[in-house]
Amino acid sequence: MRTAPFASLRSLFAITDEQAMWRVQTQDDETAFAQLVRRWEGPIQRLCLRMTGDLHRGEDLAQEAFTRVFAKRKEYQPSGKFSTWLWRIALNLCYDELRRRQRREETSLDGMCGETMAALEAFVAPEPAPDKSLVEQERSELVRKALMQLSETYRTVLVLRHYENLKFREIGDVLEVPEGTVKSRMAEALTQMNRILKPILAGESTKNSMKSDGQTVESVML
Amino acid sequence: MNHPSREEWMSYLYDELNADQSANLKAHLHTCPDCKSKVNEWQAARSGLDEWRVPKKRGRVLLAQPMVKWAAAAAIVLSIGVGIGRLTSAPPDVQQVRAAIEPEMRQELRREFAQLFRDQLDKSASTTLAASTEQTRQLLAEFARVVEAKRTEDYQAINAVLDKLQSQRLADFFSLKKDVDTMAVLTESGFRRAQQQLVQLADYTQPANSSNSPQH
Repeated sequence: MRTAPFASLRSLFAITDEQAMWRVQTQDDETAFAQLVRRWEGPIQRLCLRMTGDLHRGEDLAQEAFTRVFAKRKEYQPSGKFSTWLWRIALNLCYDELRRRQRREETSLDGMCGETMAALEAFVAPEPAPDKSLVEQERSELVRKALMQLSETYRTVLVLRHYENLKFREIGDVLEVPEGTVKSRMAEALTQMNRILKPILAGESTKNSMKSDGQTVESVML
Repeated sequence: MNHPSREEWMSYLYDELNADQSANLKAHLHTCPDCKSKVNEWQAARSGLDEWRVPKKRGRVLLAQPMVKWAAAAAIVLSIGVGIGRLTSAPPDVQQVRAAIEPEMRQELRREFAQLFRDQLDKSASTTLAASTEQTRQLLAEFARVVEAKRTEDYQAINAVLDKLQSQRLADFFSLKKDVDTMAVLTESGFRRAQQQLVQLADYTQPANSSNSPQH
């Protein structure tokens, strides 16, 4: 039975994030750092993708996040969780990216700027998973676009709580706001999300149910 | 009626309440249509969010070129203080590393791995630095060449114009000289003829003098 590569080596290194980070800080321990990267590259990639709506840009940002963690390793304070610090670094990179995009759009002299951006958005949409039906892909894309319509503030709490499963208190630590604030932002975010999604997804499902007359279509999840 | 706050509803929806609290809120939903409709909306939004699926992880994007890429980048960030960007570096032979480590689990293997990585890191970092310096040098040399070439071009162009002007001027000069000379020649010969004619005239007006030799 073939185990995952480096499984045996990995068990040697089953240390906590904070222990690993301590080794990185004090000894420049690259092995410990690799451990952290392996553990967190998935979540950070997903965060950057969902915040920017762009798969490839998301990957770039995730890479930058870890580079920055290593570059600033001396600045990490062990009094807090490593992941809190990491989320914050990644989020700030996402905010910078979004700000850059906004400036580009504002300084664009193209009168059809909004449509251009929308076309670009569609172009950089994440590659759909090959095993997903066309309907699911379309709906997935609709939700992606809907999320991009929210303000950064609301999108952040949505992504962290709903997709990355952080507790409200943890999100409060990352964003350095009270837990109550996080929850009220969440409520507002969900309200807005519902408002945006309801007509879109309902329309889609109606369209598809109409198509089903005499044709085989994938069943639509409502 | 005491309605739960929306913050409490968020905790409820995301399962952050204990069993009792949760039961209380659930009971409230049975009796309060306003809260029920709000919670339904939030629940619908949550279901919608679930429809945006992304890959759990995009392969080993970050460790495709293990650690070397980001560590070299970090080293350069620290030493040069330039913005973080993409770097290209020769990927270390991963298969070789795996073959060496996989069979057994030993302390030596751990050290070996760390050392191998360190070597790769040093090599890649210095190669990258050297490459970027070399590239910068080449770019500067190219730039200097272009500037020099442009300057030479200008010189040549200016010289060509000057040459043309000069030869034009010379041509004009000679042409003028020729004209002047011609005129001088013509004038000279005109004088002489006039003189000859005068002399001849003088001869005719002295018939008494049989001798041609002039009287001194």
